[in-house]
Amino acid sequence: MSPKIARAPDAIDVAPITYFLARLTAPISFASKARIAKRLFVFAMAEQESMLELRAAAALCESPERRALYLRHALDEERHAAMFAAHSAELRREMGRAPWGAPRATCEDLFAKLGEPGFLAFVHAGERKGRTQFIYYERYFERLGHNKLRALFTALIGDERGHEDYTLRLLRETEGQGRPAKRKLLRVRAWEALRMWRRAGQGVAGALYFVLMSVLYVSLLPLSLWVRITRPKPRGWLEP
Amino acid sequence: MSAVLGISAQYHDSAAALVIDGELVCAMQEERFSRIKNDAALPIAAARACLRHAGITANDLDAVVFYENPFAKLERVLVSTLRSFPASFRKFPTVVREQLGHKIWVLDDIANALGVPRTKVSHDDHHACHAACAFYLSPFEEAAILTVDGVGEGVTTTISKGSGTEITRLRALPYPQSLGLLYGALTAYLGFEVNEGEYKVMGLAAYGKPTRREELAKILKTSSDGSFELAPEYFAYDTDADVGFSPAMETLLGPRRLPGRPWDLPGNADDEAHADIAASLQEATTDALVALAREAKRLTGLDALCIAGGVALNAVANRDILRKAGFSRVFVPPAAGDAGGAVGAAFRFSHAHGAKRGKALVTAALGADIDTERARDTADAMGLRSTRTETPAQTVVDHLERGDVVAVAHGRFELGPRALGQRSILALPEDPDVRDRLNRVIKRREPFRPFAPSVLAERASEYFEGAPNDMTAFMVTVADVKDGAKEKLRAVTHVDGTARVQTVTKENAPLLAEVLLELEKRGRIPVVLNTSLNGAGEPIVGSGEDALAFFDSHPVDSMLLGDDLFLTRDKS
Repeated sequence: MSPKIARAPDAIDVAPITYFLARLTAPISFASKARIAKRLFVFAMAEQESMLELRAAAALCESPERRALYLRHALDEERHAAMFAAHSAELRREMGRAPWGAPRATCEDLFAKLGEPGFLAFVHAGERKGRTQFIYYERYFERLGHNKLRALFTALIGDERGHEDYTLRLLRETEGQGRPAKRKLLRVRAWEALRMWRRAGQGVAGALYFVLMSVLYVSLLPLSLWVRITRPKPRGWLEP
Repeated sequence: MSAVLGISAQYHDSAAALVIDGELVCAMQEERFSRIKNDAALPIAAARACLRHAGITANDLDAVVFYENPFAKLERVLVSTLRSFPASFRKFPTVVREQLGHKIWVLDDIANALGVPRTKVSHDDHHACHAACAFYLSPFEEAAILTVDGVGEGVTTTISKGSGTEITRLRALPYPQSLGLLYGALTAYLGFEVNEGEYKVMGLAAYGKPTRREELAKILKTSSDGSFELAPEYFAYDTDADVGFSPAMETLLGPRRLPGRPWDLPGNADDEAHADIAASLQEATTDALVALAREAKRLTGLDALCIAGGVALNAVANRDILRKAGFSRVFVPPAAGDAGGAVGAAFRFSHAHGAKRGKALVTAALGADIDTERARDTADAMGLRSTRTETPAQTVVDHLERGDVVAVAHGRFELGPRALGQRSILALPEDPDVRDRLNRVIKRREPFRPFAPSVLAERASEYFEGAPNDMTAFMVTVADVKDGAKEKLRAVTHVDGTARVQTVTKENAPLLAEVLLELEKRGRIPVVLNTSLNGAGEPIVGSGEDALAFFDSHPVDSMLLGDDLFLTRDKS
């Protein structure tokens, strides 16, 4: 039988903090056509990244049933990435700007890093977060009368719910009902919070690095003059 | 036993290749495992798959060789960045972070990731590895060797002479005089992605006329000795790596084309103008390559030529080199770009340590095989029904004859950008509607892009001028479709009357050869349309799961996976 990603009856509704943050940031994130296009492309990249993680999970997973579920989920994520990228490109073209093209992402190999239960907990938490955001954005664009974007988020919410539910079901199957699964979810949330903290640190360090390198660059003027004199652009054949 | 693993990475198309006692045992691109198109990451999954295929472990390796010198590369990057002061202001922080933070540690990273002692990991020279890949895989005992790409450590183009296991470099052109950079910059100008859209430019060129050669001559200045020079004012490779061209290019050629805008050819005047630019670029590149090849002929006096480097994947130019440069035979390996650098690196170390030359390359199927049991289990779990066939070739032909588009994933996947029968989508070559369906619905790509034919090698000359030759087995050249055959090959004949033909033998693509023989037995021409098994923006299928995912999400009519046949109408 085909592994339909079914909705669990006891699935949690929305993540309150994510919902609050989405509400707080939406007017800024979607303040202009350019920002909407950018935000949609960020979503496209996140979906593409998720697709790669799920494909990597399918390649490593020994259970054919779970492998099949990861593959189907990966195909959903690929489709979502294409939908977000297409909407982003359309907005960019409307502004007379070049679209960013196909979303390119990298894979962290989370299945190998976290183990299967950890991976499932991570994906579940991510899907819940995504669905919560999309629920708010659906309402946000409905209020604005932006039917295309409202319809985009409406189309995705159902899929996200399905992904959220099947990963929770698998987590409970692999880790055990009740406390063990909840413990895994908490652990993954803590890991994700730490990762976000580190990323924020990297962001600050990156900005600082850019400033320092810019200062260093200016100080390289004499060296650049020396390089131009001593190492001019070569022309013609070089012989060994 | 002497086992050497070659590695190429960090720019695009990273790959691993294993050479044992001078023979190439396997070679795989990381993208087939990571599912990231043109993946540049260290090819650790590919390396492990190579070791698994050979039944050895990392401890059994005598050496691991990286295909270029990271320290020489660092020097060139820093010098060219300083030379472009102050225009390189924006690029400088990124360059320093990439080079010092990441790229120069590649040898340590390889040792750590594979678990081999650092003393076993060494580096080589980018263009020497390209040359080695082309020459050692070729059927020639002696040959001139031409390598042409964007840039290696410090050079972009080399001419060498190969004899036995010796390769001697005769000439080199320094960065930034680069045909690869020229083609890349105009690829971006025409709205395509660099390192990915070059094939599109080649296909587009056939729709245009080379009316802009005069402008191209201002950008690319050639000399009588085959060397050339790029006019720096039109380029931005040291200041803007994303597009590589400067505003002066737009002043000269007109506004760039916005990426992603649908093409309307023939008919739309803007698109036709851009096709003319593509045609002019293609002609200028071909002329420059023919001049380089003539210089190689003059320097070596040999009859055979091997070509490698990313620019060697320009199939149209390769045809003209064979016709006009004075060589009677020309060979281009299937992975002429950076992926082939891994092969060259492993060969060079092997031969430097006494290994004899291996056999000439017969097949590009150097990758991992399909795990059919695993794929079958996954398909069952996905609810995809299949039937096992004892006669896969006949089954494929049954479906082709019904007008089906048939996906095939059978045997080891290929090295390089071309699917040559192991990971292919096949259809009959007569009906142009099939081509349009493939372009629009299945591959979701530009309507002007052509599809290639695969033909039985012994029957190739009946349909294609000059086929078979040393390049046609790997689909790295084009041939004129004979006038009498054009009607029968409408789906695979490009608008300029050429086709990027693959000549098939039982040795280079066994299943595809059987399919073609079966077609012939049934009174049809032994030719099929053959395109790679992948969707838009995806790498070519590697594993059985990849094939199932493709089948589940693309409207092909049927798929042969190993010996199992899947039908779209059975999808639940």
